[in-house]
Amino acid sequence: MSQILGLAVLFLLLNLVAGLWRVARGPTAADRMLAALLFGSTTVAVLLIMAEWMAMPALRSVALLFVMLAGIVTIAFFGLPADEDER
Amino acid sequence: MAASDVGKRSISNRQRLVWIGQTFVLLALTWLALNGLDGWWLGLLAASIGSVAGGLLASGQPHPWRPHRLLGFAGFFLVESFKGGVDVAWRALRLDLPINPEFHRYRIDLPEGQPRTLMISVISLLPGTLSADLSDDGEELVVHTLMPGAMASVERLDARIRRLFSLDSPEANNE
Amino acid sequence: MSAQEWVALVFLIAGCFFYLAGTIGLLRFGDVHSRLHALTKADNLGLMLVCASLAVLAANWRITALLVLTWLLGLLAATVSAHLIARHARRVEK
Repeated sequence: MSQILGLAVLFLLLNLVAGLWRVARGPTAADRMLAALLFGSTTVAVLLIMAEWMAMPALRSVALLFVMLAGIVTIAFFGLPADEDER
Repeated sequence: MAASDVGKRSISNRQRLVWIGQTFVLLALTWLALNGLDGWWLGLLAASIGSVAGGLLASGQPHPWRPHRLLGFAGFFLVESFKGGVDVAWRALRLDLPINPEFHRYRIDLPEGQPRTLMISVISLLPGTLSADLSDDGEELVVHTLMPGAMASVERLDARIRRLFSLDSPEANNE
Repeated sequence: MSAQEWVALVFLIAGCFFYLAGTIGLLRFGDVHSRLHALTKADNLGLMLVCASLAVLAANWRITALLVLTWLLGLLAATVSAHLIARHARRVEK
């Protein structure tokens, strides 16, 4: 099972790299911000699998923290609705 | 409109207390699940601060929800988000790429606060719909759909949220 | 491999499949909003299946609770991000 978990991590990381093509190419700023979403969901899965694979429970806490940050990054980038209306 | 304002004021405080109580139980249970009984007093403190701050600071009026209906809503959400993922995966993998993107406008009849927030959040996870924008007065939602007919699931979501928060259907309000 | 590990394996493969589908949608769909559909919905189903697989492997209710909480927060982050990105794309870039 251990090797399978390792393969899953590798697969998800390759998947992330493939997604980066869209980020690099754009064409709009919103396309590039899709990276925040992609990184958020993929990294969380990778961290959770690694916690099981390497028997490091602390990585689950890292995943929890990461998933919270992923949301905050987008809010910081685009602003909450109330702020945007003032422009 | 005026009549509903009067009714709102007279039951508002009791509703707020009920809401704070429910949130407290939810937060305390989360703490218990993650940390067990170690440092339980810290968990109680955190849950109290969280629920009271939420109850006092949340915009709009707190809407009490029925715990047993939350289970039903969770089931609906699980099934629908599963269908949403399968649907979009199938569309992405098909060679002829069967998507037909369109924008729709949807008038939100749900009251402000949690019902409306829940609606706008969950729409993005239903099959084929994405909440794309909100008009400045917050009354109209712009929904992006991947295929014709996707808007039907928005109406079913509306009915589910009304059930969860024990709200009347829009027809009953228009008397 | 035990029966438990077989179940976990099926969930894990299904989860990875939806991550792959999400990325393919991200690369193939023609406009920002459609790409958002692919990323939010497929990746969150993928995360749900990966969490289910790990919960089966761990067979521990506290870890399961943590996994469920992580998944729910992931959903919240994804749906808020998707709405903000979609709004930005509609208002600024059109």
